[in-house]
Amino acid sequence: MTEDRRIPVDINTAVDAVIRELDRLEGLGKDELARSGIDLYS
Amino acid sequence: MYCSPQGRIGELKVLKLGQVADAYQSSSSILADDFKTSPTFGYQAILFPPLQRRALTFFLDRVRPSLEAAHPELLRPDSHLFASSRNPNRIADTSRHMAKFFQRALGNSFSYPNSSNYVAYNLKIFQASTQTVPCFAP
Repeated sequence: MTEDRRIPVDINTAVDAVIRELDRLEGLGKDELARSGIDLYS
Repeated sequence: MYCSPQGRIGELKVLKLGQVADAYQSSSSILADDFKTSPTFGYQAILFPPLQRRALTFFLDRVRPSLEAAHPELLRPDSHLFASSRNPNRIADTSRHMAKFFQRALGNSFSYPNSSNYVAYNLKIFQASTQTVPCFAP
């Protein structure tokens, strides 16, 4: 059996991380956003 | 009346562009019709709380247009909402992108190696971001 090494993260901490990332991304200009590396691929 | 705090967050990634308009007309949920029990139940709600709405708006306004410029077929209502930038006929591997984001934001010790953990974790995030629980009649 594989040991589960995941560490629980407080859900509010995760939500805060999402909000911070959105704050950051929404503040970027078009060129900065293009350079930020947002790319959806599979 | 069926009230559920669950609502198949994982189905977000298989939405079509044309289904987005429905999302913005709703206060809290989107109706999904692409899941394993859909032949029996038809539709099921996907939670669509404010934080998720904000993220999707950003994606549609600032990120997807560059994909649409490169692949005009992504303007079609039946195109994948989260299409792969390498192959617009495929859905992007959103679970991998989410895992990478949280590993970067919260530390490399954080991981969820399979899709069920991804779905569960995102469900908790979206639940935590809103007090709204969707209620609808099947």
